[in-house]
Amino acid sequence: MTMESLKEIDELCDEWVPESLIPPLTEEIRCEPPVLESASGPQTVINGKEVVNFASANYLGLIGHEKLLESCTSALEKYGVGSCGPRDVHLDCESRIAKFLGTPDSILYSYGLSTMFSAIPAFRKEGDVIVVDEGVHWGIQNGLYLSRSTIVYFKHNDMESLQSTLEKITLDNKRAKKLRRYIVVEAVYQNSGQVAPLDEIIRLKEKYHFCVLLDESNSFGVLGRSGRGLTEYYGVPVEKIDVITAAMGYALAT
Amino acid sequence: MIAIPYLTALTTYFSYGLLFAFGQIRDLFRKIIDWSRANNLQGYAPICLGLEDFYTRRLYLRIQDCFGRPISSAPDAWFDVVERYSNDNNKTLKRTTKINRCLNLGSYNYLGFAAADEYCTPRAIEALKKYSPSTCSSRVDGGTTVLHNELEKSVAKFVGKPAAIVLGMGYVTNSAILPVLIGKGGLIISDSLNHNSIVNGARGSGATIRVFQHNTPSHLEEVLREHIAEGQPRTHRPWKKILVIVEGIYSMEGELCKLPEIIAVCKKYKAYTYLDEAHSIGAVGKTGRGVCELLGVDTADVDIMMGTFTKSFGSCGGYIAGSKELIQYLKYTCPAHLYATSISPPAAEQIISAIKVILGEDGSSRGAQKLAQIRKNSNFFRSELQKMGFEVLGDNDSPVMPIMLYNPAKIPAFSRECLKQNVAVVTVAFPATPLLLARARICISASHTKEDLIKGLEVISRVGDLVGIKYFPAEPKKQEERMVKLD
Ligand SMILES: Cc1ncc(COP(=O)(O)O)c(C=O)c1O
Repeated sequence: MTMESLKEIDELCDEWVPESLIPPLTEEIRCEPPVLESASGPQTVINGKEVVNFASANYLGLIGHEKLLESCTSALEKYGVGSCGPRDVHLDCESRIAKFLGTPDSILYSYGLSTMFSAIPAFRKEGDVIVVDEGVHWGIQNGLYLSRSTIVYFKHNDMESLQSTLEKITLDNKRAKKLRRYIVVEAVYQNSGQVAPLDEIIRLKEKYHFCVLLDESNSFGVLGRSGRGLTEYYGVPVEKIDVITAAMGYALAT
Repeated sequence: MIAIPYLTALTTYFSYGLLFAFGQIRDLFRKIIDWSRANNLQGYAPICLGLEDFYTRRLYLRIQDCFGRPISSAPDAWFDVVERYSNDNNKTLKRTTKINRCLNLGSYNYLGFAAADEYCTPRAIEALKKYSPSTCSSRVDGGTTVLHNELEKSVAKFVGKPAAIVLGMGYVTNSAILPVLIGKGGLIISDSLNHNSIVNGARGSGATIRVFQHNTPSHLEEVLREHIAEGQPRTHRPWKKILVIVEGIYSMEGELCKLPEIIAVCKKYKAYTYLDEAHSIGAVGKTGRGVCELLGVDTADVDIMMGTFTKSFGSCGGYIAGSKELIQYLKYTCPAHLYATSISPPAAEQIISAIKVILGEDGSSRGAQKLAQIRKNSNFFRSELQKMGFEVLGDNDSPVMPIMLYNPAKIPAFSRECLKQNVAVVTVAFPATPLLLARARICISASHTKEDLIKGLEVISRVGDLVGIKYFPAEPKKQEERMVKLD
């Protein structure tokens, strides 16, 4: 490199001024969330006052359950708090969940939010087509982004929109048979509370040969006669769904 | 950099070539068999096409018993490894009720907080009873307890920053915070060996990503100069901001970050710095405050300090520490803070208590002893391994020390032989490392006693001879004597 161009680069570097790391804070940003002074059960204490709690996803009221606390305590004593690899209890838990749902196997992630966003890129590769409800939560959106697949959104919980989207993809892609195609929906949408019409989704999925990934975070343990989720609620055999994910921080209170 | 001996490289390539060839032949037979059977996919595209899962099927499955071994106790200095067997050539492994008590040289239990602790465990149980295992809500709507706020204060104080935010998982901390900090029009310059969570966070951010040679400040400077001069691709507009991301201790290399030099370069070019201390916080430094303390860097010079609680603190979750404004902004914008369930209260209490022990605020000197112990243990183990002629990566004071294996056949051989002699080690291979550079990774803990370490060294030495991984000549003897003297 010549002396001149070196000097030029020096000057450019000197002149460059970065933006600040974060934008200036507004009043809105400074607002503080409530601080709980007891467990977030149906009643909780905020600022020394007892209040009724409608904010927590403690669907089954398992917070503070005596039996659970006992078994958690003995697990803490035996295994410590953090983990550093698979434990036999983890594997037992995986097979119990699988048995509960009626699927061949299951895998446990350590954090609800990361489940979808690890699972999606694991299945999908570049070039796959994914049809997604536009109302899905952030974990799914991020997983989709990381998968680098072609992503098509359909109108929130609108089956006509889903059908026309699937129709269009099938027509547009002559290679469609070779292409991996997925539908991603939530059972109960975290952001809108709506329930996905699973029977209709299954009909469309079978018609157009798509795989379905279903996030049951807000329905696992809640919907269906024995809490097995949306499939039980609609009486759909669980084998029809290709992948089911759920966060255990809600109904299971862990 | 790792200079792989010529002959080793050749044999390693040859081994992989052989594995590949046999895998291909077996695949061919499978295809022929599949052909004759009816296609049962019914119009669905197969989940894995052709070579996509070749590595898993033909290489990983054959040695999968060396990975993901279940244990049935806390990952302390010694732990119970559950024995497994396979009836189908290792395709699936079944657990038995038999247990093998092994020396644990694999867990990131740097300070020994992973097992029950006389100070932390009772407090964690108390928190469990008071707050339940989960809050069932995100931090902003009902998931913030008094414990969560106390935890953030204590973490900020511990790492030496004005404020901190805590998330439920270390991986998510990186992959959810990076997209908030930087986006389109920004430039991320990342160390070539950064953890997958950082890679995913960087990809998710939409910023332009460039990589600099692992731990090489001069190359970082080169990359910075080139890109500041060029500006954004195509438009050549100046970058909005530049973020340099490094780790404190690289977990696959055992190396310490050249932080002082890197900070100097970043300051010169006005780039922001992001330091991931997952493996260094609590593990190194005189009072356990991480690489900044160890290498004499002022924490004010690091813009964003990140770390996890899964390692030294024996808990779960991750943190970001920085200026008050930065943390306030993150709390308002970070999706993992807004949508994900908050960190479990007993886990939070475990961290608070562990920090108290480290700082001596529990009224004992156990913390200081632990820190002295891990340093002594690490340096002893490393120097003994080197004397035996192993190729050991990493720096002094780092509790992580990879032993190079190279050859794919040596991965299961080393792992299984050690296990037979009651020493559990972690082996790492592709895709976590480059194909040629398979290794065994030893993690030392403060809870290892001298006798534990000597037993570990004996076994590793014996297995090392058997497997043939002492790539350097051993130092002329008198080893026994020295080992005794070091007490
Ligand atoms: C450098 C680095 N960052 C982040 C993480 C993720 O932490 P966690 O295991 O708590 O999710 C790890 C874990 O291995 C790591 O090594």
